[in-house]
Amino acid sequence: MADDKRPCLEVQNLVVEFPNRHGTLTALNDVSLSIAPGEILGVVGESGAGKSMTGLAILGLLERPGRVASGDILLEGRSIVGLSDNEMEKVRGREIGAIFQDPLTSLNPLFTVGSQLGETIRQHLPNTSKAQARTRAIELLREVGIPGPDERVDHYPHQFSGGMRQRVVIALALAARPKLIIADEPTTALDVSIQAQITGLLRRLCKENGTAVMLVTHDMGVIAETADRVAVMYAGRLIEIGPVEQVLKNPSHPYTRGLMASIPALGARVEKLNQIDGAMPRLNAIPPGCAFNPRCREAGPRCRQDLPVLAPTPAGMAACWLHNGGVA
Amino acid sequence: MLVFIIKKLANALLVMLTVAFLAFLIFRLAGDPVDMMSTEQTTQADKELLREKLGLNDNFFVQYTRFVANAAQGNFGISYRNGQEVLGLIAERFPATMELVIVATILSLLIGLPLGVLTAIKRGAWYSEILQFGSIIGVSLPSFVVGILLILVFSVSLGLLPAFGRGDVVELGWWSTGFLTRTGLLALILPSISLSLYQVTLVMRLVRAEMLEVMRSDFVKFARARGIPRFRIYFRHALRNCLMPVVTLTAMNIGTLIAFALITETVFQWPGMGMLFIQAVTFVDIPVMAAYLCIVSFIFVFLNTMVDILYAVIDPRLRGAQ
Ligand SMILES: Nc1ncnc2c1ncn2[C@@H]1O[C@H](COP(=O)(O)OP(=O)(O)O)[C@@H](O)[C@H]1O
Ligand code: SF4
Ligand SMILES: [Mg+2]
Repeated sequence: MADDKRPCLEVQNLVVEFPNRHGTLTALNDVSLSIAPGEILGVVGESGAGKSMTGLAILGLLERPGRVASGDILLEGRSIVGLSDNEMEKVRGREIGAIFQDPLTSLNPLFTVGSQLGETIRQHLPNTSKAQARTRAIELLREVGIPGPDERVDHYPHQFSGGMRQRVVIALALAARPKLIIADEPTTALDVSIQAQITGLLRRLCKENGTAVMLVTHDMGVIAETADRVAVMYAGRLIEIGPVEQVLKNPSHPYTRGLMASIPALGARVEKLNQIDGAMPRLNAIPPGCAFNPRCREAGPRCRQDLPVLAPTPAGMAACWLHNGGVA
Repeated sequence: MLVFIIKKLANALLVMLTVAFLAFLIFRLAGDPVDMMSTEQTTQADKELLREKLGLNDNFFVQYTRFVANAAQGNFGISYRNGQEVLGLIAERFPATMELVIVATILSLLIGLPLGVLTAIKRGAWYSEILQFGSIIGVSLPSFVVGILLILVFSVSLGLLPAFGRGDVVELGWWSTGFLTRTGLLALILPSISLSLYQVTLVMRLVRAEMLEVMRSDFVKFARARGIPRFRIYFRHALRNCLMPVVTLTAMNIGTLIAFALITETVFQWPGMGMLFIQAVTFVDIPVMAAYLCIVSFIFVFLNTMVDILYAVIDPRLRGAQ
């Protein structure tokens, strides 16, 4: 594990833009966050808030014409923004693993899970022989709780259930023992009955290996059970961040409070977080001042003019005038 | 898997019986073969004898069954034009057509596949745009125009390549090949390019479309997230997922190429089955026409069935499906 207090990941004032014919869409605006080694950061927010975009920017997988317009992304202190494709191929999988939403489509249907695991292992640990990679693949399948891994290693993805496939995906993400895992709604596509198993597994493996995790979800229950800290996103910005217990018990931002109120009981799971009146603005129609002001019951004149920045609160940090000099 | 194969074969058999029925109908509708084979000197008694000998007095069903049984053994009767065995005539011409078609198919894959991948992964680059535009021309140019243009440039103006014929051939049993002589190979160049141009553009456009589709898929995104190098993703993960439609297109189009070869063979005076068929049409040589129909259909059906079975081999998901 890291011998100093240096964070595993630091995102500094990240701005992601999509230039198009009509101008420029700013998908992420001034996003800053950090994750310590072995820490699990939960990221929540309504659909379209920019959670996936943050993960893709870190992985260097923004779809063209999207690009990091400014800001920096540091992995153990080293900037990985603007690395060449070849350099990024050594970062992805090796230093940052990823798990996406849909385990049914994340695996190539034409290759056995063993061949995909072996491919990943040999890509990042080039001195591994085919036989060693196979042994390691079986070991990984066992670690993620797949019964009969000696046989299963030669099976094709379609021979696994959804939950089992997501376990394979987790094994693939962990194959080269990365320092950071970006898990983008890893259980959303799964049956409710196995969601807790998969998040539990992810948490256990990452804690055992000291792997940091950015866990994107819109399930507050998952956050409560799994994450150490939580970040809340709204319309491309980070609006609140802090330790899970504090933020859940005592949310500072009115939007976060709305999210909490939308949960019948803490620990229960809801599909969508849109129980707050109104809808999140589209990226090309973000109102001036605080982006949340049209939906905020506590909004004042200042909220419609000036953009609130993150400021300390009892629970961590929040971008709301209520906690930074008042809304008047 | 076995059930699947048996089903496919039964299907193929049914289609062939239908085709044979159509070919047989041509016989029946094209007039009385006895009249066609006889001259003014033939007596009525001779005609009756011939009619009896050809089995024309049996009922329709018996005649059809006999036709199918004979055709299945490769017996298509005797050419009206020169009295030779029809099968022998076709066998003599078959290698010429097949060599042309094989070379055209190989060319279409050899050129079409890489161009399709290139135009997909370098979408927007100037050379991709030019290739895309060129492929529209390739699809829309009639193949006889291409053939004539090629002859004009490479034979007439530059005098580099022969404009007609097969060159020297070597006999390997009943198969005559142009692959083994210099003139034979040179003679193949222009006709096979002319025949394959349309195929090249089809393969290229198909591969491009499929690649673009596959490159958007989650497993490609996930492969990138695993740090798999781009070229490995393009050629191993993505291209392999495009191969099914390409295999289908290629195999099915071998049938189309054989049919298209008719035009190419005419333009280049290529002594293949197509030329034989054209001659048969001019002489209303029904047995040759019927045999050509049956044999080309058989190749079609055979390839289709093979494609279905190959599918199951390439895609593990289909193996258990039946
Ligand atoms: N290729 C793209 N071009 C322009 N805008 C995009 C593109 N992809 C996503 N966006 C926008 O970026 C915003 C953030 O999306 P995303 O990160 O996927 O949200 P989520 O928080 O639900 O994961 C959304 O408003 C979406 O419309
Ligand atoms: S800044 Fe104003 S509008 Fe925005 S959340 Fe705080 S109170 Fe509401
Ligand atoms: Mg998302």
